[in-house]
Amino acid sequence: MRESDEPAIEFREVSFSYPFRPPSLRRLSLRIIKGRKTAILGPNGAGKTTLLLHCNGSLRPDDGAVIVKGEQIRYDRSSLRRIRRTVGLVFQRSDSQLIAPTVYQDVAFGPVNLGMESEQVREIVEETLHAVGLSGYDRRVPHQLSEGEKKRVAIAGVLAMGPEVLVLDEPTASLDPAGAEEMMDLLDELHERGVTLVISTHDVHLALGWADDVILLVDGEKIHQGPPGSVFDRPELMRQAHLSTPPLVELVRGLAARGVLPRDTLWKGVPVLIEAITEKIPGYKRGSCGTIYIADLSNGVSAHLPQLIEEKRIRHTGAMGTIAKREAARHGIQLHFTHGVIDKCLLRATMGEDSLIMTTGGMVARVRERVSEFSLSYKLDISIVEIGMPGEEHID
Amino acid sequence: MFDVILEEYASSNRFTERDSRLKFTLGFGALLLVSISMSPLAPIFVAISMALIVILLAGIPARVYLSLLLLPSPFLVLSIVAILLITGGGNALTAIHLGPYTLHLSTGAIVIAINTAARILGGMSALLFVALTTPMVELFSLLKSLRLPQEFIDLSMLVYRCTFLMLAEAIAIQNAQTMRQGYSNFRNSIRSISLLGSGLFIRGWNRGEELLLAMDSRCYDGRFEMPLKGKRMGRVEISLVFAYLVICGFLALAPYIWGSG
Amino acid sequence: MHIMEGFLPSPWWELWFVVSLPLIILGLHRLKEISDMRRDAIPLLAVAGAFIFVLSSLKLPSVTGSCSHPTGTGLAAILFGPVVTPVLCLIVLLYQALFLAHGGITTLGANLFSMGIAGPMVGYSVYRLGCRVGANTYMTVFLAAALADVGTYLVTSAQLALAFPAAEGGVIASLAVFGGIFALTQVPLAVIEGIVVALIFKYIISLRADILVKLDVLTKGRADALREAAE
Repeated sequence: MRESDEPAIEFREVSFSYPFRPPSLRRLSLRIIKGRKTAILGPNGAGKTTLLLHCNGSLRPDDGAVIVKGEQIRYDRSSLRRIRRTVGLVFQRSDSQLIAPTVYQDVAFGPVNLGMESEQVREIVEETLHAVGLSGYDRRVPHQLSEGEKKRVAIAGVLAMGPEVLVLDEPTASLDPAGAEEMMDLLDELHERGVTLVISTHDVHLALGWADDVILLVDGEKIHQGPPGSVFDRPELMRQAHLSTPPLVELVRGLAARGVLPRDTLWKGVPVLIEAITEKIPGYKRGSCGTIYIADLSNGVSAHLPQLIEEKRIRHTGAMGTIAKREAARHGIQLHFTHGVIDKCLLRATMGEDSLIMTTGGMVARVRERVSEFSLSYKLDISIVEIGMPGEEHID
Repeated sequence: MFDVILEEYASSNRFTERDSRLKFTLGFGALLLVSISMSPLAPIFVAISMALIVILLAGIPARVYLSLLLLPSPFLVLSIVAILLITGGGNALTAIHLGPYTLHLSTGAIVIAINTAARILGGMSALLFVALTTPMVELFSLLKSLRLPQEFIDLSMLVYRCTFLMLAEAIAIQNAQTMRQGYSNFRNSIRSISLLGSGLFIRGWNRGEELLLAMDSRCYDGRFEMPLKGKRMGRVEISLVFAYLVICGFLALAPYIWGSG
Repeated sequence: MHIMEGFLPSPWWELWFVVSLPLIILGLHRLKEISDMRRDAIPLLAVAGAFIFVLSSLKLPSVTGSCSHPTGTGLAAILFGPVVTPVLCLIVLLYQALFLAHGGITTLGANLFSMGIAGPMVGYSVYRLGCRVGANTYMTVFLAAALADVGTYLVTSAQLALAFPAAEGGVIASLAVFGGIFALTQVPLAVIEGIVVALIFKYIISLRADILVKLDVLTKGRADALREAAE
């Protein structure tokens, strides 16, 4: 991958206990790599929140050290202010984080306390609210917002300080499934802009599907750190962590154990799984694959899309990122997928159906990469059509 | 359980988006004039006009408005009766004998009672106008323009936010208690309210600590941004408000000029 | 007891603002001092203000059947001291007027004086006195809260009496009348609030006595003794 293996945050033998309580963290050592998406996975009471509170210096280890960007945290006021500019923490409960009477004031809180001027603050707040999809919410009052909106305001408030690392404590905890999907999509978008992301969760499926790196935390100890695949390999780890294996992972393991799938098949998503299974079915004949249209909205093509959808009879449309979703809403384009868009469109393509992915900037390249990779691995003929201003591009 | 919180109306009526400076000027201006008025003319004018403005123009339901206006009626009635009976001046009308005491009803007392009642109606109407059409957040800009200390304004804004959170908690706890017969008799009610109070206090304290943690996580340095300014007022609106206040002022102060009757 | 909007005639409503002003200025000054000294002062005071507001929104069961609200100001004075309580009460009264149409803006000065200054001072003094002579803590708290309410009600009656003196007997007679009328509701209310506040105190001690120690309401020794007694 493109980032270096530099740790953004590092824990060295960190131990911590709350007053009069047994240790919450025991000699914990780990590294959060810059540019990656890390998930800290563990049951309730494992110490996840405590761990996260150490990341921005809110808690101080009894033993050991926390290192941010290569520098050990010192707990005097100005050092802490510096750390908190770099590492932004979003709490589990948005109500704990929203302190001001209006959304504008809350998001402006960080920049104002960092000493920025009114004009600059105004710009940053507008930009940040735009980034989380809440433009125009300036004068709204927190207690009239939904949980999802509150969470976004909380994230905006932290983003407004321009952190390099964003740490979120159970970001999907109080959200409904649709809200949780939107949230993960937003996080992906932020990641695309170069923010290092760390989330804590007890949702195994979420962690394994989203993260680049998974840290298993049990009773204040790290029992494993590695890519999601490495966790699957070892069911005893999951048991130790009191986590339940997602059904689909069990499926993959079961099929691998029976030799239906190669023994080393890891969980890589539904499309991969389907291909791996159908490959093994003798005499299985697949029809021709559909086309995936990619619209890069930074080229201003959104106005033409409704027409295109009509013309080509595209029945599945997905949007990645808040800008894409906003553009879709603006042009009255119905969205069928808002998270895990690539996987869902790949699935459609293998069933011979066309789909459209609306997205912006760097994500376009990522979509193209993944689709090509998938096509190549399974020898499929999925065509990719990039919708730009003049001309179109075919890749086979 | 709790009284109606007017904030809900304040943020969803037809006047919500109007310039708050105008609303404050109109409401508090009328209130001021009512309170210095020597005759019941201005207060009654304000009471009727404000009621019409709030119900017809701002769109607040009449039922709601009236129930709010009449809310403190027990206190009101008692006090007016007291005033009627004990104050004096003018000509004696009748005497009421209560055992060894004789209470005299006089024209002076009636005048005072009428003035007071009018003033209350007028004052409450003006207050309700502000309370029902202006979201509280607008208040903070007003406090700032009154040159109150910034710590006080910051504190007010935080209190505002914490109040809503605590109210929600209080309602939740009270509901849970009610379901378990917490308010079924006097004794239980006392106990439940006390548990509620102590629970809120402790949670509040924890919330205070959380608040500081949240503020520190965003580099709190003692600063709070003020809310954004709203729409600018149009000339028509300014003139209307001005005209209204002039009428009120005239009604309030005319008796001074022409001698009281 | 709130005096409702418009009740007081000129120049009385203006006068009470003037009377309350010096103490508010003192309170604001102290506020600045505290917030400069302790970083956690403003958040904690914010929660304190919210607490007073919410407490005073509750409906107390009453013997007379009418709904009555606690003032919360006696408890506030015990917990937060008599200098800062007026500032908190100012915010609470403002919000009560604008959120609940309870009380008023012109009568803010008068209400502040009775509920935010006089009452708390009585409550605080009684509490400290009780602590000093070593009286039973809960009895002290009960008396402090109840007498704070009584103080408030008496001052309010006086405010009304001054504004509406009797034809015969002047202010004194008027005070007797107003005082007498409101005694029917206010005295039972004071007793009930006293009981409730004492119970609240008891529950706080059994759960989180440390908070009271941090607020300088109780000494550690006393808090421990009380907590043990409660078990």
